[in-house]
Amino acid sequence: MMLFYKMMAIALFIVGSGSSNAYAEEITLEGISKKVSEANYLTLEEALRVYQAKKSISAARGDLLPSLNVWKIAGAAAEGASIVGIVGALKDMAPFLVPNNWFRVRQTEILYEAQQEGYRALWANQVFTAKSLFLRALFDARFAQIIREQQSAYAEVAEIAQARVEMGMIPLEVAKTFEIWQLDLVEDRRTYSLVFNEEVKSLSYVMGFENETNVTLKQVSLPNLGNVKELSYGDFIYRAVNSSPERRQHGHFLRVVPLIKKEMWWSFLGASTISRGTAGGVFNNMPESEGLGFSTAPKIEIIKGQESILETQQKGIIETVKRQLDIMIKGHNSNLASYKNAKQRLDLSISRRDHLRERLEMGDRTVDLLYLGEVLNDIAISKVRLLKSQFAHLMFIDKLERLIFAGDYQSPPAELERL
Amino acid sequence: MKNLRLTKSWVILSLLLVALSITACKEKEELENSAEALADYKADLLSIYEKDSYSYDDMVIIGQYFQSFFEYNQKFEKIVKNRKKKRRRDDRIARNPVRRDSRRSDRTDRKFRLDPKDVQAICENIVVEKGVWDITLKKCVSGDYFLCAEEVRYFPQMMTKLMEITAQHGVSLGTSPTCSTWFR
Repeated sequence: MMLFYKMMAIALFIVGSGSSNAYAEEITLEGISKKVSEANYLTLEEALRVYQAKKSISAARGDLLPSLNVWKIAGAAAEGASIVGIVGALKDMAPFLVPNNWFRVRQTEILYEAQQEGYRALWANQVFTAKSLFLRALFDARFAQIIREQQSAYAEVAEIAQARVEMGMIPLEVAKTFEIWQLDLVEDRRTYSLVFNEEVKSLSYVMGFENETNVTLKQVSLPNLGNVKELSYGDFIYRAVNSSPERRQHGHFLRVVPLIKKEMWWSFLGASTISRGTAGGVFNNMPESEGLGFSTAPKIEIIKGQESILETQQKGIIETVKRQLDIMIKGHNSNLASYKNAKQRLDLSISRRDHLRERLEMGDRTVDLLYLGEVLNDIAISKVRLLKSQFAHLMFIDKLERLIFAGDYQSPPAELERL
Repeated sequence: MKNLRLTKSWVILSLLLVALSITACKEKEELENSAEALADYKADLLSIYEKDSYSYDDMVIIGQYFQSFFEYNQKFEKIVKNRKKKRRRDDRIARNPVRRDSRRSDRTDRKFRLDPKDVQAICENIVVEKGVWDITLKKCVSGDYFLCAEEVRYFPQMMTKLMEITAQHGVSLGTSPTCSTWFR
């Protein structure tokens, strides 16, 4: 499946480049993963690197076969076509007889798998970024809606306040306080509108849309967290560490190290000029040798040092995954408690408001309008908290799925994909 | 002087040939070591797979078996593929026995041969029955999530691959009681 996405991505990149027509697009939460796979700029770039790494294997294998080099042949001929001359030109005429060339071919094969894991990590991160932006934008859109509702609720009370001021029942300051609150809300809406626009533009970019594209977001149904159970760190830790593409990528790098050591030992039969391919950058600074000598031992030590660096990095990755999972699980469980709290707070605030409204409708003139304003404010705050909990839940679950490669992130490791 | 140079060159070429044969022997030895380790991992798996729920340590045991089986499968495929190339050459030689390289054919035969008894041993020593995998797979799922190593889910594909490889050599997995559970 991942290979399909990669090929699609490359194909779309080639076909799609150059078009610049503005058009409308609706983004859905379910469609993000596919769209990012096909059009995200970084993902496309990485897909092309995977393609290069794949071709590096063919190039390395091809380099094992004799190649035509007129000057080398002429040189060998000049030496009287002796066996010494032929051995001298061995690298060109029979490169498959140089053991280090075989080690390099094997390295390009392993590094191709490392590159595929790199792609998987980057792809998953881009999908995660896009989904986070999508959810944050939707949250802000709903937040703006709550502000609008709050504005009309204040307007209603402000009208009553104005009437009471005119009747001389309350001081003018009360009516002015409502005006100030309303102005604050107008400013809040303006701010959220800007934030929303920024998020949608960022999302649009992550999903590979052109800036002129008119992007709209499809609403998601919000979860009822009442029956959601708490998560346990112990249940997910194995899967999170095991499926981490970053850890797997370093595992592949570590598989390359013994081959580089072998290259050093077999250097007395000639060094390899075959490239490790585009994925071999991590080993670019490794020493090379044209033969065994006094420098071999320190060079082996340098390679061992690189091995230790990679092991340390891998350990760091594992600890990062554990830390992220731990934070996510605790956040998720705490959010469930926050949801219950927010729901209870909202219910209480609504019942207080309804009671005050009833008194107003009954003609009770002793109802304190400023107090009513505070109750309305409480309702808005509770609504926002509830909404925040619901969106936080969606984000926590998405984070969990990213960590354990489930849901939209479901993609097998590179080596299993070939089965 | 010329003779000395000639000798040096031949020494280098001989060393290369020795190196290539050492590599081939090493591959086979690695495969045998993997099989031994896998047999241990299989025993560990069989001791825990029926538990009500899997702890972290259980998941490590499960992952160890299925991941090692995948690696074993890859090594096995590599060796058998090399053998297949040699077999094609042997067939050519059989059609034309006068050719000089018939001695090489004998040598490669000694290096690796896919024997039905070996395949039977693979099945009985390192493969788990489908029933064991079914239970493991089921218990690896909690709620909406799969919690074990991804290799667990890919085990049927690995078995199919093993079946394909052995079938290409005219050896059927169906004769083994354990492997036959996978292809009923």
